[in-house]
Amino acid sequence: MRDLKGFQGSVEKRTLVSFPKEGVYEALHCLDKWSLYLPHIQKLETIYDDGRYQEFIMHVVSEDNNLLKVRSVRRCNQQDEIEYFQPKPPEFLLHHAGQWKLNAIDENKTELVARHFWNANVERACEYFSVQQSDISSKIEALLGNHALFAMNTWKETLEAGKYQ
Amino acid sequence: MNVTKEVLIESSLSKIYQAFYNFKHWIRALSDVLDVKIFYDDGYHQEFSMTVSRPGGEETVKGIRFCEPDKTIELFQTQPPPLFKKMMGTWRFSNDNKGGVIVSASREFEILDDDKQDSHLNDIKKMLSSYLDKNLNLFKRYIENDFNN
Repeated sequence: MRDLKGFQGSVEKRTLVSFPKEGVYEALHCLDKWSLYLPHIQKLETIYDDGRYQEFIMHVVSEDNNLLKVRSVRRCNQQDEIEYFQPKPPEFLLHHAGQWKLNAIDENKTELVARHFWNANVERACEYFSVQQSDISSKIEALLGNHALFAMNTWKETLEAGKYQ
Repeated sequence: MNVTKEVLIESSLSKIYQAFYNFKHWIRALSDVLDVKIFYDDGYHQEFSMTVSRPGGEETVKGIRFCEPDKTIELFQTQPPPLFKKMMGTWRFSNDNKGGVIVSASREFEILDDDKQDSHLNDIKKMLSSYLDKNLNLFKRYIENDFNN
């Protein structure tokens, strides 16, 4: 997984999934099935998908019950890495990118690593989080860190419960 | 279908990478590039549109690039040029150990009417190959003579 130097902030989360690496990769890669297993995704529109590159729009229900459209572009290496960015990030960010990395621990166990990278829109972030400039980083880190954990844990539960088909 | 062309450029790797990475240099280096709009650029990922002048009129493509500073730029087009169903490609930058840099540009594509005859496909391949070659040599001339940040 390459190091995206130069971003103002980054956060990394890891978890172990009792499932083969190939199966975890397939679940993360196959966009068509996401809305079946990820409860916060109401709908997913695939704009482009040639296996390596993907562009899609997720219709997401936010914590405060608003419907958000999130466009994402990804590069998938067909094995163990997916890198993405959000061309129109939320208002409090100028740039937002991320990576998934899968490390096989053994045949049936995979370490799932999620990283987020961002540059903040300082003025908007202060308004959005109602904080001073010095507190923006920790707010964004907590928010994106929680997103990463939520996504990882949802996939972990789905895969380990044998629900994914 | 694939097309690959390469050129040797006498300049530093970082300068050459910057010329291909930063779209302001595309407008300066290539006279047929009429306009570039950048929708997103974080240093590693870019979304853009580019309008070029072609014999049949203006053409606009929309694309995404994944960039690895001083090494590679990967491209796929979400809106390919007319005649093409898919278009993707890579620029690779490598030192030639004699002070120059080899820039290799490859394109992988599918055309819209893939039931058409081989001669049609070959014509398109030849056209793409010629544009790729011409652009690499125009970049070479620009970088070796006119480049400034």
